[in-house]
Amino acid sequence: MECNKDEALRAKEIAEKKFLERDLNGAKKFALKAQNLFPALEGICQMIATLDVYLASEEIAVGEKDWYAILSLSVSANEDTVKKQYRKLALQLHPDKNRSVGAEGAFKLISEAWSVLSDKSRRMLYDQKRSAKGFSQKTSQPNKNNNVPSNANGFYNFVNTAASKAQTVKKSTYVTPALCI
Amino acid sequence: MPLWVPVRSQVAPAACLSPSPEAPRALSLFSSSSVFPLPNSQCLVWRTDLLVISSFRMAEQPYMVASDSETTGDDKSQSAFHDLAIGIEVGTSKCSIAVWNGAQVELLRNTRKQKAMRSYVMFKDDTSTGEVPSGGASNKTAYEEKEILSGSAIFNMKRLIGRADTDPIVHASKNLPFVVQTLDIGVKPFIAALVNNVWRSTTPEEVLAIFLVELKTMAEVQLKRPIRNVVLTIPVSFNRFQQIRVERACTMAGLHVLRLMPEPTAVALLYAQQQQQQQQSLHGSMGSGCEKVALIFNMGAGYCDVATTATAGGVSQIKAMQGCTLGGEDILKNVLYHLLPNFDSLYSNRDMNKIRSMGLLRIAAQDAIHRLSTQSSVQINVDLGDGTKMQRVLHQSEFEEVNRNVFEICEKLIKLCLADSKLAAEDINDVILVGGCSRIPKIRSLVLGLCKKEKEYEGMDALEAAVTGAALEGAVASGITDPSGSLDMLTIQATPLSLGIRVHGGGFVPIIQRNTAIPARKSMIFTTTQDGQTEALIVVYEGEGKMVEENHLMGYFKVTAIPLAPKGTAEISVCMDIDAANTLRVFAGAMMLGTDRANSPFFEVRMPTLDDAHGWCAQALVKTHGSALDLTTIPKELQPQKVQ
Repeated sequence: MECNKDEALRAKEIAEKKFLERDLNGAKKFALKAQNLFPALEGICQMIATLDVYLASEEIAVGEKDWYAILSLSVSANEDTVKKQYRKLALQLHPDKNRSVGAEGAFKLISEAWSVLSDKSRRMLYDQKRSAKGFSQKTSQPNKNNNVPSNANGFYNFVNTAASKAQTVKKSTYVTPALCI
Repeated sequence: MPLWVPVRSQVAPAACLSPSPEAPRALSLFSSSSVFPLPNSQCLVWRTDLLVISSFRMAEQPYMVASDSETTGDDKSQSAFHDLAIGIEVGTSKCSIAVWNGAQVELLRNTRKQKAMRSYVMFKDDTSTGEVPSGGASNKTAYEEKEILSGSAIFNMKRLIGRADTDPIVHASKNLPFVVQTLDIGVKPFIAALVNNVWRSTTPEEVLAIFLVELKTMAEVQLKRPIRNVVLTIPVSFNRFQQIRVERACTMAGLHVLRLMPEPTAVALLYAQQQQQQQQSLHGSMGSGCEKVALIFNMGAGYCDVATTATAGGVSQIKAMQGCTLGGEDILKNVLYHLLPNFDSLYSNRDMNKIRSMGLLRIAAQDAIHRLSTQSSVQINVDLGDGTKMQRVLHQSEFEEVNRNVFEICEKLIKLCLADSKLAAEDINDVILVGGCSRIPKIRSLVLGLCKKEKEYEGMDALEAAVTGAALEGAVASGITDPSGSLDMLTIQATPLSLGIRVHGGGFVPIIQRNTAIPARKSMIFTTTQDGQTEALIVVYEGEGKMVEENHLMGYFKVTAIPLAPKGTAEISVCMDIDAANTLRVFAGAMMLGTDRANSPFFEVRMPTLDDAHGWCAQALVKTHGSALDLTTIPKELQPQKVQ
């Protein structure tokens, strides 16, 4: 058991490294491996939740992010489901609750998704744009993605927040200035 | 351990001079150095006449607590408790500390068994003493209200902190027993306490720091561990300048601010916990339950806050917040001027006798206001000592009449908050009334009336709710978990004020709108106003005014290397980021034409960068640069859709 835990810890460390290197798929692979090896590993669920949001955010629908995928919701989800899912993810991803690298960035993504999907008129507008472009109506697949950075700013965002997350407890005044782009 | 002291001028002297990069720890020597002997302690004298602050090199290994601390693997929860942040509410009038004790929140008491301690610092005979007798020195004198009002004590620092001498609140503080002078030039007001018949100057930050040292010492003695991390509650209306000043005072006192929480959001967290527990006991499971919307009205001695929150499944989401500088102090002032219309001219001369009689009148008025919460009229009998005696009856109706403006502002705030959160009175499930002034009958009926409720939410102590919530947040943000699930909750904070930049013509363009959930990151593209403009000034403001001069200037910096282009074509990206600890960073840079790639490295600036005299800076910038470095917005449809 213990040796599994050590292995799992190592896999988790590799996942963190991959994440900072912007290799989301690789990070997810190692995070899952860590979870398989030792399901009770501290923070592993939070890490996977964080990675899922980033992976989903790579999806671009009609020039905007796929907000449904980010909240892992189907397009037909009703108001109540959106609300519940947002709360559930907030509890998993809020930096107060999640110490893994990038949690803050992931939380910002779900907040943004929430601000679009919880606002009736904004959601309608977004839905219209999607159906106009014939975007699929079924649940978006968060895991289906390419590894090409969607936009440089996006990466800049998560590297930076990842760095700030690492020091969040001490609230360092200065975050490693991840070079913009 | 990284340097966490804010890198700004005038940071705590202890922090600047400490050669070690670690957090400075400041303790008043006489009270606690004997309790916790620390290695490598180095003393430095900071305003010798007031207080000696020693800065200790804190080893990674915290203090040795009496029991031998185990450092084996499964001791994680134990070691986490060493860093557990405590909750502090420094009120304008009273202050309290609370801490998560492993099962629930506990309020600490001072040696006189008080949970609510008067906030003041007495300057006397070259030592300073607050109300809190630090454990070891429990025989410290407890000052009576009369002495606090003798001019030798500074209080109401929460009202004064981070304000310039042009601020109406500072002007209104001139009727306090200590000296507050204003010269209306946009700098720190002159504040002084009477010591041996001489007015000695100080600053609100310094006073707050001294007070916090006392509180810290008291908590350390009781909890038998060093205290470093704190969650401090602040009023909703505190701008970032005021927040920085509070953080700086904490730094001076050797405390690290883990979170600054607007008071109603702390109350919201407590509410979330109570709802969660209620639902668990009802359904026996962790069902996410139905959503409950609460309006929180908090009014203390110095500030009034209103917030709405939607709570379900332990998650409380702040929908909107409104706040202003309005509180018991204003009510008291109204009553004082009602009792003595010539109050100002009477007390313009500050000799000892005048100050004393002013203090006596204050006490009498305060007492009358308290009694009016339960009586329809009260008798005021006070001998002002200078031959004048005041004998009269104050009626409830009279009281309500002289404070009509106060109630009107309360009403306005509630309406604004409801409108911001797109809620009608019918949508509200619970009305939570906290803070000392919530006991005033007129205020209760007003809030309940606006929310169309018969009665208020029960189950919260009006004076302890905020500090309890702060202690809960301290536990949650310190990573403490509770097997019974009583820490499985979260408050999603929101920004109370919009943040944005100045554009051509002096307009204010918000980038992060008020009531945005934080952490948050938003960006916008701006463009040049001159042909061939290669540099642009990013001037950051906080506030709600449409024009920049109505808002607070946070700071400014220049974006360079804008590609040569006709006006209106270059793209300058400005991004604002607020992290979980509420730190604001602004990133800006020029983009290469027609791409989403940066032309040169972006600038990252932590705000605010300014200190005082912000009004002057804005004027000076315009005077020196005119509109040569101005930016302007681009039409909405050209804004990139992606949200980063």
